[in-house]
This record gives sequence, structure tokens and C-alpha cells, in this order.
Amino acid sequence: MRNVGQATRPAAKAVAILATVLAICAWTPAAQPKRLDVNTLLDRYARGDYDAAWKTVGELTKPEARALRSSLVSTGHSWVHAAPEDLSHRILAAAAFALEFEAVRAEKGEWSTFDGDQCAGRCAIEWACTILRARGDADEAERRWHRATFALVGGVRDWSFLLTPLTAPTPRSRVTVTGHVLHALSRLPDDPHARLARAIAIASRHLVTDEMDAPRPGGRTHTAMPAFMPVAAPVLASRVQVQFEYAKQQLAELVGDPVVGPEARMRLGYLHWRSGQYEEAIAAEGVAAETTPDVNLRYIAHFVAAQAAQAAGDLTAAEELYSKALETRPYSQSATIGLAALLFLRGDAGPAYDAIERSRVERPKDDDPWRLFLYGDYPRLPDVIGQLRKSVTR
Amino acid sequence: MTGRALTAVVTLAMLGAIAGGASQQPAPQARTFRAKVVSVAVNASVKRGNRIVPNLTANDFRLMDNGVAQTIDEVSRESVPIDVTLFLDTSASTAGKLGEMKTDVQGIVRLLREGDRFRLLTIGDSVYENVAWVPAGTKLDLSFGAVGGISLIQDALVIALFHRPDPDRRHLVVGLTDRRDCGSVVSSALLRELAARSEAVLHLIDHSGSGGEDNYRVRSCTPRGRPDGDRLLIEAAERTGGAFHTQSFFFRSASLLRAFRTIFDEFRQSYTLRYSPSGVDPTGWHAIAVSVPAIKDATVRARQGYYGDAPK
Repeated sequence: MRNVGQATRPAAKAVAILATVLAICAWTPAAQPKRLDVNTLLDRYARGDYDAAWKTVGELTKPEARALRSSLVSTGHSWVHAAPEDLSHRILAAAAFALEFEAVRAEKGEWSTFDGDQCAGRCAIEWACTILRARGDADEAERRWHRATFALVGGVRDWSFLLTPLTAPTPRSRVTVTGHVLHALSRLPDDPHARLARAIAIASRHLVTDEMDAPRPGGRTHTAMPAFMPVAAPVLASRVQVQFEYAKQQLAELVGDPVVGPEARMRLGYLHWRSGQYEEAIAAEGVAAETTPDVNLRYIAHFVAAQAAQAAGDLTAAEELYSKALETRPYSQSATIGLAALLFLRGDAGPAYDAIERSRVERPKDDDPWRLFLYGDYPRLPDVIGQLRKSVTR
Repeated sequence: MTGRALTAVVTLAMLGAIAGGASQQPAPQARTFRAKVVSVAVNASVKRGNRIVPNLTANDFRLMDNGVAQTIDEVSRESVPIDVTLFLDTSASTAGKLGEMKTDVQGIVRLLREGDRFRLLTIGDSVYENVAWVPAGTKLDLSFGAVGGISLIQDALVIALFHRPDPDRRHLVVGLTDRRDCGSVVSSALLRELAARSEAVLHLIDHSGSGGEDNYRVRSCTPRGRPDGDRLLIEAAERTGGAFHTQSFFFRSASLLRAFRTIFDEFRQSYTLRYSPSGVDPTGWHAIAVSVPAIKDATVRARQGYYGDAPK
């Protein structure tokens, strides 16, 4: 027994030393979340040193990012007021920093407001929106900031952050309508992008990916969604119709606007298509395509019209409209697939193979506008952030 | 060259012409050839249980074209090279398995034989050709990551299937996917129609439950597929003569390679039946049914039809 005890003593010592070393390692600062100084980052950002700031932010772990976000909204005002002679610029820089911070972290799936975060994307944007008011009357810089927020929110599809509720008001409804876009409109009442953002948020309920049935020449096809329970079907169908009409009305009010009118009409055409009004969809998209100077919008307008014609059973018109889309933006993948499918379906396999092959060669990594249609103004986020930065750096 | 081999070469050449000609051929020529269907090739695998049934002759098969019995001109089990298109569903919902997928791809490529070719399609905001056609034995430098948002599974399968047939090769498409499409231009119902007209054989391997997508992620997409969409995708594979394969929850990688080995073996050892349709309208859709009446319990997997010519 004694011998055994003597033999185990060195082993016990070794275990104790190992445990101590492990405990020390676990406690060392290296194992703790990195604490970034938000003031340093804000200084860099305000100076226009964007790349360094975003490289750091992009590399943060989720707890580190959460700590930085929390630090920004709780102590960011100290940085803003540290130089009273530069107050307006510092407010704008802090607000732009908050927006870009959330844009970077949203790419990592951290926009969520439901995972126990003390202050996630919505909170930081609202904080920035609030401090911007201290700059006085809204100016072009603030307008750009708001437009960037609409684009970001579109990217994460958090439409109810823009507006709640998104549904049509009923005569008996006493719900107070809230949302970020209303804050923007209170500052910039006539801003066409804010008005369009509001309409898109309402229309977002119908920005869906419901599958259509296979097209049939001469026969109309519809979305193939789960059937409602027979008893509830009339009520639900009627409610859906009301919401569609409400969303269409919001967009219809904007079709005459010289800035956002063509996009509003293009999106109105989309709603016509999704609600089975194919002829109205084709007509609206035709006007949108004619009136917009934006190649991507024109492409989407032709593409949606082609889908509507396909659903209406006019496959010849659908082929022509896909071709128009491809004249506008050659070799784009979405219209190429739509056209090739119709060609293949009617037995013209050779041209279908050729179309797919050319699209593959000419646009191997295409930012196809249709692919990002679900996300509102999000495809323009890099551009609007670029404009916002110009305002920050003056 | 034997007379039989010569016939095969001529038939294959004609098939190539019907299918659209050489890859550089302009579109109008394809239209000209399309009207005359001379010979139809049907890839058919015959199994009894898990064993492939060898040494069958034309007399063993029964082939119906639109319900009319046909005379089979030739049955061959040629060892022609194959083109393999692998589609990897790299949507966010499969993000948890990307590392394994890269290893799997290398393992799959090792199953190819000399003369075979391989390409890899993945998805992000569009369908990407991650690896263009490469010969067997090529060491692949794979780089792909999960992309959140739209999940263009059906569009990727269409691009995979729409590869111009080469008369000297056969085309096998294998899709590794959880089948949760979001945002494709082509619906599952349309994919089924297109697959049925394709010259390629499509197999799908289940790859579900491997990731998980956050709500409120940039470019997130909520699948709103039709309730029978899953069945339609499986039917798309079946109509080409392919099938849907599940994976073992445990030993996933081994079971995946086993599934590939099974698919390759079956594809390589399948029969090619050739016949000239008679007694049927040459235009439009032709439903094909292949059976082996002499062998009880035989399971025949073959394309379920072809498109003759556009109805006038």
C-alpha cells in the first residue's frame, strides 16, 4: 500500500500542475473576447480610412461584434461631442459607421433581433437615426444615409422594421403604424426613395418565390401553392386579394414620379403577375421598360413580362420577351434559362444548348438583376454607401 | 470494323445530328435536322434485387413507344466514356457540410475512368460552373463556400441537363442536394418536363439536414415550393432513367461514395437499346416503357420518353 502511495504521488503532482497550467491558459487575456475601442474605429472612419475599419469589423467574432455594437450605442455620443466644432460631421460619421457596421455584420447573419442580442441591427440603425436629428434640417447627406438603410433592410428582408403593420388598415383597426421608413418620411416628406421604400415594404408580403405550374401553350397556369382548407378558402382568398390591392395601390401612387416611377411600375407589374392578372402585368412592364433609363430595371421588366406571358399560355410572346430581356442585358442567366426551357419544351434542343453554353461562357459569375429582385434596393447598397462616404469625407 | 460496329457508329452519328450537331453549329441547322427522327437510343439498366443482370439480347427486351410495341434494332453494352456533371447544393441550408463535400468530390473524381470527363456546378446568387470540363485524373483545386439566400437548385439542374449530347459519350448528371429550392426560374413541375426530354441521366442524392439558415441574413430566402415539389424533383430524375438516393445518417461520407459507386456501376453496365419508331406519330412527346418479360422480378430503369418533333 505504501509503495503504491509513493508511486502515485508524482503522478498526482503532475496532474495538479497540468490542471493549474490549463486553468491559467483558459484565464489568459488571449482567451477573452477582443475588446475593440470604438473611438479608435470612429476616428478611422471619420478620416476616411474605411478599409482598415471594415477589415477589423469583419474579423470580429459574434460576441466581440456584440460588445462593439453595445459600446457604440452606449458611448458613441461621447465621441460625437468630443469636438463640438465638428459636431455635425461627427454625427454623420457615427451614423454612417453604424450603418456600415451593420451591413458588414449582416453578411455574417447578425441582423437578427430574436437571438437574445441586447442591441442588434435594428437597434443600431435606430440609434443612428435618432442622433442624425441633432444635425438640424435634413440635408443630402441624411437623405443618402436613409437610402442606404432602405437598401440594407431590403437585403435582410426585415420589412416590418421599415413598416409595421404591413397589412391594409381595416375600418376597425386601431393599430398605430410605426417603422423606420416613417422616421425617414418625417424628415424627408417628399423623398421619392423613402416613399418607394414604404411601398416596397408593403408589397414585400407578395415578394415570394411561389412555384408556378409548368407552362402550357394556350392554357393559363397559376402558382401551385398549398390549398387552403375548404372552409377557410373563401375568407383567406378574399383577404389575400385585399392585401394585393392595397400593395398595388401604394405602388400605383408612385408611377408618375420622375425618379422612382419606372421602378414603381415595374414592381406593380410584378404584383399583377403574382395575382394572376397577366395581361395587366405585361402592359405595365412594357411601359416600365420603355421609361426607365436603368438597364437592370429594364431587364427585370422584360423578364417579368415574359413570365406573365408564359403563365398566360402565350409561349410565343414569352420567347419574344425573354429575347428582349437578353437584348437589354445579353447572356443574363435568368432570362437565358427561361428562354432555353421554352425552346427545349417545343423541341428546339440545339438553340437551347447554345443559349446555356453562351451564357456560361459570357457571364460566368453574373450579378443577375432578377436573382436579387426579392431584396428591394439591396443591389444598390454598394453605390449608396459610396455616395454616403463622399458626404462623410466632404 | 464489323458491320454491327459500323451500324452503331452510323446510328450514333445520326443521333448526334438529331440532337443538334456539333457544338459550334449555329441554331438554324439544328432546326433543320430536328424534324427527322431516324433512330432512338434508350439507356436502360436491368437489375434483379441489387445485382445487375448481364448478357441480355434484343429478344429479352420489350419496348413500347406511345403504347406501340417496337422492334429493337440493337442492344449494346458499350464501354463508352462518360461525362459526369456533379451539382453540389452549396446553399446556406447545406453549409454545415461544405468541408465534407470537398473531400467527397475528390473521392468521386477518383471513381472516374480514363476517357471520362467531369465538371462541377455550384450555386450562389447564380448557378456557377465551379470546375469546367476536365479529364479524369485531374487534380482539382476546389474553392467554394456556402452562399446565403436564393437556392437555385432547379435552375442548376436545368443547366446541368442542357449539355449538348456528344455521340461518342454518355452524360450522367448527379445532384447532391437537400431539394429546398428558393427562387429558381424553372419550377419543379417544369423541370420534370424538361428532364423527360433530356438525353442525360439524372440521379439525385439526398443531402438534407446539413446546415441551417438564419432568418434575417443578407439575401435570405424562404422556400415556398409547392407541396408536391419534392415528388416532382424525384420524378424528374426517374423520367431520365435515374433515381433518388438517400444517405445513411451515420457513415455519411462512406454511404455517399457507395451511392456514387452504385450510380457509376449501374450507368456503365446499362444497356443501350436502339430502335426506329414505327406505327407512331413522329411528332410530339413519345412515352417509352421498357421491360424484360422473361425475367421475373427484374427492375428496369430507363428514360421514360423523348421528344420527336414539334407538333404541327
